Amino acid sequence: MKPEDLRPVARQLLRTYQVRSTRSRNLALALAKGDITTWNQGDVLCNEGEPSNSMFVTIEGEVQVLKRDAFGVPKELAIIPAPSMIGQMGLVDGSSRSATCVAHSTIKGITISKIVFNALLQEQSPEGSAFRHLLISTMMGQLSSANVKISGLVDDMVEEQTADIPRENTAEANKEKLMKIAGVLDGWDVKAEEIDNVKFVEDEDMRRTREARQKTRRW
Amino acid sequence: MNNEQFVVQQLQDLHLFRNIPRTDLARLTRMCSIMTFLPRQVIFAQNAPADNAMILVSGKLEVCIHTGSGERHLGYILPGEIFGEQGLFHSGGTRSAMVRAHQESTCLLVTPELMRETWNNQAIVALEQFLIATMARRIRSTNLEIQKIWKSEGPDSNDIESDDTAEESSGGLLGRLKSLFGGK
Repeated sequence: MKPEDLRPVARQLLRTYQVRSTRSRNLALALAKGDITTWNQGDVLCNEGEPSNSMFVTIEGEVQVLKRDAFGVPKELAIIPAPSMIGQMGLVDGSSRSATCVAHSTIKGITISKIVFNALLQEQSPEGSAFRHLLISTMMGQLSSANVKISGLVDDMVEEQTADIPRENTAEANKEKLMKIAGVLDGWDVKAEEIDNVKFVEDEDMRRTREARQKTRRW
Repeated sequence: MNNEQFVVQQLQDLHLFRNIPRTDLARLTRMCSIMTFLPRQVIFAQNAPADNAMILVSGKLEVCIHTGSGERHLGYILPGEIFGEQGLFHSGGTRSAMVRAHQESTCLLVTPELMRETWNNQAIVALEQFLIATMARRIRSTNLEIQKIWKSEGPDSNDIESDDTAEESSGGLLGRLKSLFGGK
């Protein structure tokens, strides 16, 4: 794809990740170094636990992000609309994929290989600089958004300690919130309201545990 | 030795710029303002608008936050560190902590304009790479802590436990989350 065709995507990426220190023209030059890729609905972009060999920039479509919880059960962390950056953390620090990404609809995007990624990190050029600024802004956003969510969770827990809420209910909801915060730190764009909306659903085991505890208290 | 030569010499000694040609460091120094602070002088006030960053060239700085119960010391900034970097890339932000000089200190003022226009200077490339590595390290360490807390609250913690144990477990979770912010 020609750099000029990627200008609108570059512009939207800069807006999405609030980058003010670079120009869309230069970012489009960087994106043009990747390979245009199409994924059909249900195709897997990357699998949790696998080595990170590339990153993706989505141009059209939605990505479903799944992560295994403490029980090993895959849970949906987010649905990420285009344009967005996916899988860059593993290339920065060499870690394996932190989640599984599946095409939620047909996706048009750009695959940036590890070699191109590393070249852009080193390059003394306008496009290298634009790409680095986008990365830095993305990571700053991840950190500050996670910080806000952690401090919100701490406030909630302090309130819960003083309120009369069954402990197992809040513990379960807090576990869900922590998993979502870990997702934010990994770069999955989980919205604040999704975290706030995590509610405890009591299953049969939980109900029996709660009743047993209440019985113990009565004794 | 004039002030500019002193700063270039100090920058050359920093790990961050160890492989950068002196000519690029001299150019960087000429493009940035050199600022000197006396002990206890405030460099960034908490909640002030954040629109630039600084590199500490020499001296030592202290980072504090004001809480309801007073001032809490968070740590020190040593030569070679960049601070206030949020202001370089995001607009409309504010300083999350106060930074003041612990000793007489010299800093280089880095502006968003400098970052935007100066792609052809190896010192700026090194600075950007340093920021990427620093962010990645912070994200990974915070994530690791979160995952530890989350997994320690795993399947076994759903077992029936006495009220005392439950109290400890909940207090522990809260305490560990608070510790991510340097709290107790």
